[in-house]
Amino acid sequence: MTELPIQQILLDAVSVLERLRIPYAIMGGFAARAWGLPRPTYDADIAIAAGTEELQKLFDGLEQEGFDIPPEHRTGFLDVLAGFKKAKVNRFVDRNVWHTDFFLAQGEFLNSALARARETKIGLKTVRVMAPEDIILLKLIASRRKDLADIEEIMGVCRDLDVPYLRNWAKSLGVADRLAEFFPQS
Amino acid sequence: MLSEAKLQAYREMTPEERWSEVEALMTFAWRFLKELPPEELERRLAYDREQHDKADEIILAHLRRYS
Repeated sequence: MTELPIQQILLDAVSVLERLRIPYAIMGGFAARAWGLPRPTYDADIAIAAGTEELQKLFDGLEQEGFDIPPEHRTGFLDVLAGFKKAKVNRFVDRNVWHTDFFLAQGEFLNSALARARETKIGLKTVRVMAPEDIILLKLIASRRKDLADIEEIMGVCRDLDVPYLRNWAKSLGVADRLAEFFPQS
Repeated sequence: MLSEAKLQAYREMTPEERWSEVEALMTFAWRFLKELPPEELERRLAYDREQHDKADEIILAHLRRYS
């Protein structure tokens, strides 16, 4: 048991996904910490492969674990961000609300990232985390100062990155020029 | 950034050892935050959530364009 609310919440959400056999991969800050250097993070992001039926079962399971499901999710409405769907659920710990975001794996890239997820440890639990290359690609897209710092840290820790994979996807995702700043073409 | 020697030591840790370093640092930061007045704690967490949501919007808009 951890005293970090967001880590416990993430692991509880993962337990529900595993019980329901819903394919998932942790992404966001926790994935960056798993492959990079220690730094605080307060984000719980998980990519999942789920249809409407699985999603409703997921919401039921999460509710049983103390998560608060926005009523609009129950009627089939998800947060739609530029055509991609995201479900945001909440859990209150003391007086603070913590969000967990579920990204529905749509499109070739997120499905590839979901399939390539690796097992690693977060706390005492073995979980599936998006591979470092896929986290780098997402960070290249976001490209905020902290994202670029995350990329440098992941590169510093992971010495066996699949650079051809990175180059291929960076080209497909339109971020080849950004990647070249970290991996100059020889 | 860490020195090369410290970085190498970190690379050589097992995933369990690495996560225990992550958790120790996160716990330190969280204990600090919990000492703040509740409204200041909530303000900082809300700012973090807002920044996080903005990044999600950028990523998802980009993925849609390139998928």
